[in-house]
Amino acid sequence: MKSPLWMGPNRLPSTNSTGVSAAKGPVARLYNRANRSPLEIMPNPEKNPGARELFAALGTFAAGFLAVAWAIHAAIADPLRLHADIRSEKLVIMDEMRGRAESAAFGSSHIHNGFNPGAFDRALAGSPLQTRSENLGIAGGSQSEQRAMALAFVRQLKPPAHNSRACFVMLELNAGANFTSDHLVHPRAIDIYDWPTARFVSHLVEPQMTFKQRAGRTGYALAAMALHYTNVGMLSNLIFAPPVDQTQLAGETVDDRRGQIIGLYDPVREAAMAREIAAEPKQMQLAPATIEPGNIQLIDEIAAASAVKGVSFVYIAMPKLSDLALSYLYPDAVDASGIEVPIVNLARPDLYPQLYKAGLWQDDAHLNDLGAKMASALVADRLKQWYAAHGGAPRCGG
Amino acid sequence: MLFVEPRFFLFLAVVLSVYWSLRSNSLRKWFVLVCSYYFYGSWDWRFAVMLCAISAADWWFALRIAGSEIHQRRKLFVTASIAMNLTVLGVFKYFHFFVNSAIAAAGTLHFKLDEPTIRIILPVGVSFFTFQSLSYTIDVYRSEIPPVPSLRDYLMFSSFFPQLVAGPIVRPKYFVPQMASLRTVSLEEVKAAMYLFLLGYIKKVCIADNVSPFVDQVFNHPAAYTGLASINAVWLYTIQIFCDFSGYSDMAIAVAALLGYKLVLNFDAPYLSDSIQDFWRRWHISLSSWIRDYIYFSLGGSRMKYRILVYRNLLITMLAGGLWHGAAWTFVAWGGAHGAAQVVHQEFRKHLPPKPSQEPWRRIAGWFLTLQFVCMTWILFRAPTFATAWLMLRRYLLIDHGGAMTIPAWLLAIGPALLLVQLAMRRCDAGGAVCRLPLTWFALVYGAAWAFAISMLPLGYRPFIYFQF
Repeated sequence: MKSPLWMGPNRLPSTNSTGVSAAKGPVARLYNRANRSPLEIMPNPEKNPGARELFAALGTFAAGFLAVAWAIHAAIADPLRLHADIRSEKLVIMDEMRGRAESAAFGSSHIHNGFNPGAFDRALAGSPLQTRSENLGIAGGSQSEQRAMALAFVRQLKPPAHNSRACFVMLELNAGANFTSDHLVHPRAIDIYDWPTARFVSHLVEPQMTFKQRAGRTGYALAAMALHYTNVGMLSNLIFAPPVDQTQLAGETVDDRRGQIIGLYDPVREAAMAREIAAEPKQMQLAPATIEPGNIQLIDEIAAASAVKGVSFVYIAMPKLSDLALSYLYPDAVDASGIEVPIVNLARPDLYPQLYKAGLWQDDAHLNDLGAKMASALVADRLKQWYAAHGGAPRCGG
Repeated sequence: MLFVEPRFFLFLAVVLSVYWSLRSNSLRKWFVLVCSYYFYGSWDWRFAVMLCAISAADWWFALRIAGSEIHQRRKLFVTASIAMNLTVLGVFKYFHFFVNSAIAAAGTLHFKLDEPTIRIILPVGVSFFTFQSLSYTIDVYRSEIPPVPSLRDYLMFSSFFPQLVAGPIVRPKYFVPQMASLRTVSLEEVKAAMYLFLLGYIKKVCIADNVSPFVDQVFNHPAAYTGLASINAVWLYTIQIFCDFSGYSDMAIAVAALLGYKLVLNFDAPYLSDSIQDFWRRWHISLSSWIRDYIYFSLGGSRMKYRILVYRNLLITMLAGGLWHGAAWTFVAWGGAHGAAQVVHQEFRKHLPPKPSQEPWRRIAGWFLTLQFVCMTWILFRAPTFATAWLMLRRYLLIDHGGAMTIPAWLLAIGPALLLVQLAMRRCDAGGAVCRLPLTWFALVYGAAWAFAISMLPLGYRPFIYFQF
């Protein structure tokens, strides 16, 4: 039957009406062209490569792969600046605040929700520690991300106009080492897991950890590093960068929030928090916690990378409602290459009972805005006490 | 399990290693059968059972058709097979479409019908494997092929994992004879298959998946975007759907070739077509030839007394083709538009002198008009509703300037750039040139290309568009 509409019943096009020949050569031989019997298109037996040729081919495959991967990697100037969800908005905030904020808090969602830069600054105003801060914590973050952000922050830091200001880098002590497993194949991880980051994460293991924990932590870092150096998704991210989420950015900058994220007040949630607090055991357990070598290394790295001298460091342990059952005991300070770094442990219901009130919590692990204001003021008060006893914070830029 | 996922690469490595270590054709077929059901079962095991049941039933029907001398009995069995396959398709794919359409129609007559609470999940690739199964029993009924005596062989044909979920639709007369002998592949074919797989991966992952967020932005909120952004989004969707689907087909053909089987060519540079008729010779070739052979010809094809009846057949065929693509009236309208365009083209062509290949201007004009028509009709294909499609069409034609939001204007250059690349690749036979390289040089180029491809991997995997069909 002749068809005026498509190709003839037993014909697939080998040429078309534009005069361009259709796929030809070895690739075309893969197709079962309908005008030929399948028995006619049996492959031509050809001499198979020997083991030596196969190994040589594998070697050249690897060489070609690595050469192009290296070239692409070299062409991407700053992987941290590639789009990576909510981290991109934080980088915009950091850029906008450049020269206007000399202190910043870093960490995960506990900082993102629970640090109020305005409250912190007000509590330090008029004291020798006065400063202007911003919140560069990122929900879902990790020690590795906190490291990347803090390094980026101190590298762009300008000495304050007034020499009387302090520069604080506030780090979350108990943030997770890596991102969650679903973030492994994600720009949040891929863009930042270079060799120094992987080495840093490998220093966040303790002898008390189980083998599975240690292997998991280091294995994650190595896997993310492999993805980083093979540029998985990076070029796509560079060329087809999604726009910065203006809604998210507006939510973090409106009313001088300077990066803090504030959830909506919900009385139902407050009642749930009250029930949860009431359900916690009356007797809190206090367990000793160790400072991992990576925590010290992080301070050293940030101090070495800083564009200004005299940056002061603070480690903060942020509170959670589970602290009411089990809380961790950290030392007052750690020593990192001669820099004494105070530790403000807010996760101590016995020391800060005022924080464990239902009206201060967004959920069982995150403070709301009221809680954030209180926690930030408590950090500032603790720093005033600590520096009063230790000779005052160094002058930033001095 | 998608072809672009790391677990598929692992699956394929295991399959190829075991497959080529087996020396007996029978064992290889058993192995491919088990792997195919594992592959399909990775979505939902219940659907794998359903696929097995449908295939077994069609195998039995075909044996009964071939074994019967009585025409009425043959007709009975083929009708039963068609009814079974169409029922499966109707229930799983079109149930909600028909019910919602009935509710809407009753609403216009002021009758209120309640929506059913039952939700039917669409088995992945249902349209492909039911069409494949249908073609088998119909071909046996038409005495074009003998029935497959072995149930294992038939199950392997109907579930062959490279093309099971999104085609190409394989016809038994091309595939089944290949199963009779122990498959072998030459080094040249392995290189060609690897090249084709990478080409498909680049089309899907590096192009289609990267442009899809921009398309989604505009189609999800068309009122907010400017006319230029709408044109941009339509062009990008034109690229996305081609790269997505032809990328899958390339990978399917490549994986089958690595197992020693050859599948049919499914795309042949459709955006270089110089007429709508030419477009349908190049776009989704396995489907267009299927609907031609089993719908158009069954209606009488072009052997009708009056030309209007030929056009009727054509329109019915294209409307059915549109409905095959999706359970929505927008798909039917898309098919109808293409059918109408073919009728117009047929009529128009009568008034032009023959041999258009001797008139370059005519070919160029034909190419431009065809491409514009295809782009515009993709709006119907992509838009969730007629209202969205109408709005997008007005924006595309710059009748309505609309909102203020935009997407990057440079994306407009991707379409023309890709057309030029495709033209150049076909002119110089890029695939052939790469595959003819000595093995070590081929490996070097291949490694370099993979390094580029994975750097273009976008955030998150997006399923192939045609999986929903």
